[in-house]
Amino acid sequence: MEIMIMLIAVSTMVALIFLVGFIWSARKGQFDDLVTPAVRILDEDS
Amino acid sequence: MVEDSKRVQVQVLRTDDQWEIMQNPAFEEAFVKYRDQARVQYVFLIPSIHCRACVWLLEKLPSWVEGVSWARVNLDQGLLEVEAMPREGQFVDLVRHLDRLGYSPDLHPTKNRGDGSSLELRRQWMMTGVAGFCFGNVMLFSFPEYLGGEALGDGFENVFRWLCLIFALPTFFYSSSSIFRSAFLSFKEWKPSVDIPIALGIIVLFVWSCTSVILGRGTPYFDSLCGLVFFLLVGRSYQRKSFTHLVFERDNHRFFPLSLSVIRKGKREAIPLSELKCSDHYFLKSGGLVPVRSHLVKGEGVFDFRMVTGETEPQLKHVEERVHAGGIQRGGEILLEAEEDLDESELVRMWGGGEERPSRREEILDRISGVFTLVILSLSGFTFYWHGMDGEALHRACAILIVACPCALALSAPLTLGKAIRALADRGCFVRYGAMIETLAETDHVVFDKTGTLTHIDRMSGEWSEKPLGSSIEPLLALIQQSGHPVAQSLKVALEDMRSNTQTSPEDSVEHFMEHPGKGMEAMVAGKKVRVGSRVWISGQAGSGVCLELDGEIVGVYNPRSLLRDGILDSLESLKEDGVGLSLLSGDHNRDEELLRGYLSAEEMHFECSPEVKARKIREKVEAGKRVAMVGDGLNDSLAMKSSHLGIAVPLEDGCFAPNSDVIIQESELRRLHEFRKFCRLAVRNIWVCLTISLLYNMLGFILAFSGRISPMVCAVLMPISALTILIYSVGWTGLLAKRFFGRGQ
Amino acid sequence: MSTETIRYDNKVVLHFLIASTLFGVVGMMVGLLIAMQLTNPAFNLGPWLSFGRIRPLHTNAVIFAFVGNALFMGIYYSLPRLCKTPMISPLLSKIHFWGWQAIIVSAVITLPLGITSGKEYAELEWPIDIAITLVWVAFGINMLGTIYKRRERHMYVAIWFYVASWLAVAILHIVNSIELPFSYFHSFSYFAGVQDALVQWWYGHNAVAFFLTTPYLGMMYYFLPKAANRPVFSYRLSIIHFWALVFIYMWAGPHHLLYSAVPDWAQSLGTVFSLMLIAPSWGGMLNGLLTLRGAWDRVREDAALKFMVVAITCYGMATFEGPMLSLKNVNALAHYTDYIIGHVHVGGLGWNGCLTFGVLYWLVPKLFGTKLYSQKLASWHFWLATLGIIFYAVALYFAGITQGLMWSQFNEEGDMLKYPNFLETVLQIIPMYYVRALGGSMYLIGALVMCYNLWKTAREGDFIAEDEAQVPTRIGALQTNKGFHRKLEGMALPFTVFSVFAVIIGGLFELVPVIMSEVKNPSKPLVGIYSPLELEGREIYRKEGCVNCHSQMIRPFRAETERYGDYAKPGDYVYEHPFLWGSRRIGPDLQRIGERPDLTAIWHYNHMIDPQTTSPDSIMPPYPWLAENELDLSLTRSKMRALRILGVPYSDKMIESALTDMKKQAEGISRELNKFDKNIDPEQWQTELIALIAYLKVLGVRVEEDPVLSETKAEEEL
Repeated sequence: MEIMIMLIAVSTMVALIFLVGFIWSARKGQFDDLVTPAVRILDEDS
Repeated sequence: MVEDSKRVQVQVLRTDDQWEIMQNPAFEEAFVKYRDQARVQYVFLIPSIHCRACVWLLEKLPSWVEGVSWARVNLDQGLLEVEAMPREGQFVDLVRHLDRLGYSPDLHPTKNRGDGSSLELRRQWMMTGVAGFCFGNVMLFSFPEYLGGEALGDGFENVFRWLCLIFALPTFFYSSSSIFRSAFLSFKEWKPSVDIPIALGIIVLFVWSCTSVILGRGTPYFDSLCGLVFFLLVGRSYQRKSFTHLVFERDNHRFFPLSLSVIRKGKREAIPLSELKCSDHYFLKSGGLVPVRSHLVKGEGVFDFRMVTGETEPQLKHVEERVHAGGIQRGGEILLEAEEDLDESELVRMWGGGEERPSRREEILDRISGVFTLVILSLSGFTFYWHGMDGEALHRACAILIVACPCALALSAPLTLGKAIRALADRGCFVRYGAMIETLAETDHVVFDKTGTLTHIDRMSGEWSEKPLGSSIEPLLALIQQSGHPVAQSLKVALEDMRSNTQTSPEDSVEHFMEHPGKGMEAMVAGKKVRVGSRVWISGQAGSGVCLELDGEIVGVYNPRSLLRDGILDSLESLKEDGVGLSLLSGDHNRDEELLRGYLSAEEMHFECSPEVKARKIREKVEAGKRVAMVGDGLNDSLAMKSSHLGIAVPLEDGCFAPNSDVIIQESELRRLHEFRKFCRLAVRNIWVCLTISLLYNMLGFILAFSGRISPMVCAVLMPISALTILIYSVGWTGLLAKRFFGRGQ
Repeated sequence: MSTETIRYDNKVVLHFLIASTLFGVVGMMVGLLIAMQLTNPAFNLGPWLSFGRIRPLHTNAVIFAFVGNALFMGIYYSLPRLCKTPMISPLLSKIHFWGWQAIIVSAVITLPLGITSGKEYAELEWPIDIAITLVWVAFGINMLGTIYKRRERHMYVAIWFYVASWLAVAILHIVNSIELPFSYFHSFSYFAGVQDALVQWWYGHNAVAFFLTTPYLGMMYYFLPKAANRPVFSYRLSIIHFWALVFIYMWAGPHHLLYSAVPDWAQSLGTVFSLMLIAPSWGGMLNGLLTLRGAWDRVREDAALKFMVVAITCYGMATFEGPMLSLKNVNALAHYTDYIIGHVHVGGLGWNGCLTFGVLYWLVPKLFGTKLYSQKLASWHFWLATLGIIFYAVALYFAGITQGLMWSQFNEEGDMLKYPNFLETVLQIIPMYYVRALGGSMYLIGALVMCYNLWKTAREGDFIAEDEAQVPTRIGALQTNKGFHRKLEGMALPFTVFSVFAVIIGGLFELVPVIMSEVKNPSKPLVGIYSPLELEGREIYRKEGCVNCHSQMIRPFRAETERYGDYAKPGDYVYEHPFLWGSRRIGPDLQRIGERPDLTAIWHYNHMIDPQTTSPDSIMPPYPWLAENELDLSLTRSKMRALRILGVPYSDKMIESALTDMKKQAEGISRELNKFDKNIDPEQWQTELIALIAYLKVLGVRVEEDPVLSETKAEEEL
C-alpha cells in the first residue's frame, strides 16, 4: 500500500499549496472587506 | 444588510475657515494612510455611503478628478480609499469633488481609520485558517488508526503519527499563541483567567502527544488538540466581529470644530483645533462649540448649554464673563480668549469613552477558573497517587488534565453574547460589549432623563390659554412656517387645526423675517408686524407660555407641552411589573410632572437637576445596593451615566455619538426597553445552561479519565463534540429565542 | 484623467460557446444512442459504434467537450471582467481554443477505433494526454497571467475557484496519466492492479470535484448574481466554504473502492471525508439559493434564473446522495448498479447541464445586444429538461435497486442464489432502460429547442465582438508602513509553514525512490503472468471496451462468491496494466471466468460472434468482426518489453519465442474449436477472437506457482 503514501504526499503538497495561497491572501488583505466585492461585480461597465 | 441602512446623502456646507485649514499639511496628514514620492493614499470616512450605486460612483473617481489613480469603497465601514499623485492642492480638490458628488467626507480627525483593526483582522483570519487546515488534515491522518483497528501494517501507523505531529506544529506554535499570551499575562499579574487552564490543557496535550510519537509508546491526541484550538478560535472571532463599530466608534472630537480662526501676530488665520493655546484669541460663529474654558472678549454671546447641563434655556453672556466649555454659540460671531490649553479640557475628561467593564458573571468565572485550575491539578495529582504512581497512573493523570480543559466553559459566554448582540442590534438596540448584556439583565433600577429621552425633542404638543381669533390665523401661520423650531412646528399644527377648510396656504407676503434664538421670531406680513416668542421677550413680563403678537397686540397665548414617546408609558408599566424600580432625573422644569404621575411616584421625580446632582442621586442608589441603569440622551447625561452601572443613550440624531454609554437604543425602539431587558435575562440564563453543560462534560471526562477509559478516540469525540454542542446551543438557541421573543425581526 | 479604455474579447467566448453547444448536442446524441443500445443490441452498428467503444465517447464528449468548453466560456467571459483587465494573450486564447477542439476531435476519431487506455474518464491515449497537458499549460499561463496583471485588487471568490480547478486538474491529470508508451498510439499504465485502482479513483473523484464542480461553482458565483442583479447572499460564507473545500477535498476518492481489495481503513477514510464534504457543498448550495430570496417572482419569468435554480438544487441533491452512497452498507447494495449512473446524471444533467443552459440564456442575449428570442420556448426547454432528468434518475434508481437486490438474494433455504442466471436480472430492468432513454431524449430535445432559440436570438441581434470598459490605470496595491519588529512577527508564520513544507519535501526525496521500487510489485502474485497470446487477448478486451459493461472485482459477500468465485485479493492484480476492475455490471463479473469449467472455448466463440446463441435476449452486442480481423502481431514483443520495464517478469527467452508460443497456443484453441465444425483453418490461427478466448480462459485462474515462470526457471537451470 505504498501507493497510499505517494497519494497522500501528492495530496498533502497540493493542500499545502492551497494553505500558502490562503496565508498570502490574508496577508495581502484579501479578507479585509467581504461585503463590497459581492456588490461591485454587479455594476460593471459592460 | 448594508443596503437597508438609513444613511442619507448629505452635502455638508463648509466654512471658509475649513477650506483654509484643509490646506494645512498637518491637517491633511490625519487622512493619509501611505505616502511616498510617487503617490499618496488617503482614507476618508464618508457617512453617506450606503449602497451599491455609491460603490460604482465613487470608484469611478479617477474619471473625474485629475491625478487620482484609483478609488475603492468599503461598504461595510463607509470608507473610501483614494490613491493620487502627491501634489499641492490635491487633498482640497478631492474634498471639493466629493462634496459636489454628495459624498462629503467627515473631516474630524480620528486616529482610527481602520488601520490597526485591519491588521488585527488579518491575523485572526490567518490563525483561524491555519488552525482549520491543520485540524482537517490531522483528522485525516488520525482516522486510519481508529478505523484500521488491526495492524495497519508496513509502518503506516508510524507515518501517520508523524504526519499528525508535523501538522499539529502550526496549531501549537502559531494559532494558540494568542491564548498563551493572554494566559501568561494573567498569570504574571496573578489574576485568575479562564485562559490559564485552557493553555495548560493545550500544552499537556501537545507534550503528551509528542512524547508518545517520539518514544513510540502510548497514544497521541493531536486531533483533540487541533480541534480544540480551532473551535476556540472560531468561537472567539465570532464574538469579536465589530459590526457595532459603526454606532460606537465616533470619536469625542466629532463635536469639536475642525479648525478655529485665531488672531496670531495681529493676523487672522486658521489653525487646527489641537493647536489652540491658553490666551489665544479665537473667533466663534453661530453654531460653534466652545472648546475650552474661555471668557468673552467681543460680541454678544448667547450660549446653549444643553450639552453640558441639559438646560434648554440659553444664557446671555457679556464681555469679560466666563464661558464654560461645551456651550454652543447661538448668536453672531464673537471673539473669545482661551483660559487654558486644549489638551486637558473639561469636556474631554467628562467624555472619556465607555470602557469595557467586566460583568459580574465574568468576575465570578475568572475567580472560578483560578479555583478550577487548582482543583484539576489536585485531582490529577490525586489520581496519580491513587493509581500507584506508575506509567499507567501518569497516563490517567495526564488524561485528567486533558479532558478537564474548560474550552466549552470559555466558549459559552462569547458565543451566546455575540449572538445576543446581533439579535438586539437587528432590533435597534446596540450593545457595546457582551458583558453589558449581563449588566442589563441584572438591572433592577432604571433612571430616566426626561427631555429627549421620555419625551420627543423635536416634536411637542400644547394647548391654548388664549386662542387667537380666526382673522389673525393667516398672518401668524405665515410667520410660523418660516421656522423649524419644535415649538413653531407644534404651533403650526395647532393653528392649522383651527382654520376653516377652504383656506389653503396663506398668500400674504413675508418680509424681514428674523429668528432670535432663545427669544422668538418676527416678520412683516402684509405690512403688519407679527411676533411670536417667549412672554419675556414679547411683553417684558416674567412668566411662561408663548405669546403671539399681531400689530403690537397679543392675540394668543400657547403653552407647549412635551410630547411623550409612543408606548413609553406602557414600557414603564411593564418594567414596574418586572420588579424594576424607576426614577426620573431631569434638568428641566417640572411642568410635565402630571404626564408621568401614576407611573412614577412623586419621590422618584426630581427636576432642575444639574449633571452633578444627577450623578449624586445615582450614586446613592448604587450605594443602596441597586444595579442602576441610566437612560439619557447621551451628551448631557454622560456624567450621570458614568456613575451608574449601565449607561443607555437615546441619541438625538441618527448615528450620533454617545460617550460613556454602553448601550444605544434608537428612539423609535425605546418603548421596547422592557423587552430588551427580558431578552438579556434569557440570554444570560442560556449562558448558565451552557456552563452547566460544559461542566457536565468535564465531569464525564473526569470519570472516564479516572477509570482509565479514556482513549484518543474518546477524547477526540468528547472534546470537539462538547465544543460543537456549546457552539450550536448558544448561537442557535439564542437566535431562536430572539425570533420567538421579538417576532420576525424588525 | 487616470483611466484608460480596455476591451474585453467576446470572440473567444463565442467560440467556446458554440463549441460547447454543438458538442453538447453531439454528446447527448451519443448518450441517447448508447441508451438505446442497452434496450436493444440492434443499435450497435458495426465495430465503430458498439457500446464498448462509444460509451467512453459519450462520457468524454459531455465532460470535456460540453462541460469543458462551457467552463472555458464562463472563465473567458467572467475572469477579465472580474480582474478589470483583458486576457493577457489573445494568441494563447486561440491556442487554447483550437488545441482543445483538436483534442476533442482526436477523441472522436480514436475512441471508436478502439484506441483507449482503458481507464475511466482518462481513456484518451498518451499523445492526446500530452496535448491536454500542453493546452492546459497554455490556459494556465493565460489565466494566471491575467490575474497577475489585474487592476482590481480583490480577487473575487469565482477567481479562486477557477485557479483551484486549474491547479488540481493539472496535478491529477499528470499523476494519473503516468504511462509507458509502446507504440505511437498505445501505452500501459505505470501502476498495476490495486495501485492503479487507487490512483485512478483518486483522479476520478477529484476530477469530478475540480472539473465538474469547482469551476461551475465559480461560474455560479458570477453568473447568478449577474442574472438576478443581486449580490451573493453571504460573500463571507462563499470564501469560507471555498477554503474549507480545498483544504480537505482530496480525500474522498477511496469511496469508489469500497469492498475492494483496498485496505479497510482507506475505504473508511473515504467514507468519513465524503460525509464531511456535505458541509461545504451545501454551504455553496444555500448561498446560491438564498441569493434569490425575495426575488422568486423574477425566477418565474426569467429562463436563465429558472435553470440556475434547478442546477443548484440538483447540486444539493447530488452532494447529499454522494456521501450517502459512500456509506458502506449503502454502497454494498448500490455499487456496480445503475443507481450510480442515476446519481451521476443528476449531477451531470442537473448541475452541469442546467447551469450551462442558464448561463447560455443569459449570455447569448448579452453578447448580441438583444433580448431572448422566445421566453416561451425557453420555458418549454425548462420543462423538458426537468422532466427528462426526473424520468432518467427515477428509472435508474429503480433499476439499480432491483439489480442490487436481485444479485444478492438467496432462495428460502438460504443455500442457493435466487437468480443464479445473471441474464435474468438484466431482462428485469430493460423496461427501465426504455424509460431512461425517454428521459434522455426529452433532455436532448430540450437542448435542441434551446439551440434554435439561441440561434434566432443571435440572428436578431448584432454580435458585440468587444466590450469596452473604463478602468484605472494603476492597480490598487495597498502599502502599510510597518515597523521592523512587526515584520519579524509577520515572519513567524510563513516560517513555520515553509519549514513544514521543507520537511515534507525532504521526506519525499527519501521516500519516493523507495516507494517507486516497491510500487511496481508489492504483493505476492496469486495468478500467473499472461502468455503473449493471452496478453494480446487482453488488449482486445481493452480495445473493445469490455470493461464498460463487465467488472473484474468480486467483493467479499457471500452472494458474490457464490455467483462468481473466490473474492478478489491484491495478489490477483499484480500484473494488471491497467487495472480492469470496471465500475458497472451490465453484464456479469468476469474476474474468475477462467475457472468456470462450463465456459469452454467454443462457448466463448459462439457467445462473442452472437451472444443470443448462448444467452437468448441478451443485450450484449455481437462481435463478428473479431473472427475475421487478423491479429496484429507486430507489437507483441514491444508490449512484453514494456511490461517487463513495469515489473512483469517476462524473461528474454519468453520475449524471443513470443510468436512461436502464440502460434502453438492459438493452434491448440483452433483445434478445439474445429471439433465443433467451425472450419477454422489452422494456418489462420491469427484472429483476434482466438486471442480473446485465450485470455478469457485464463482470467482469474489462481496458481500455486506460475507455470510459465517455473518453466522458464527450469529451462534456465538446465
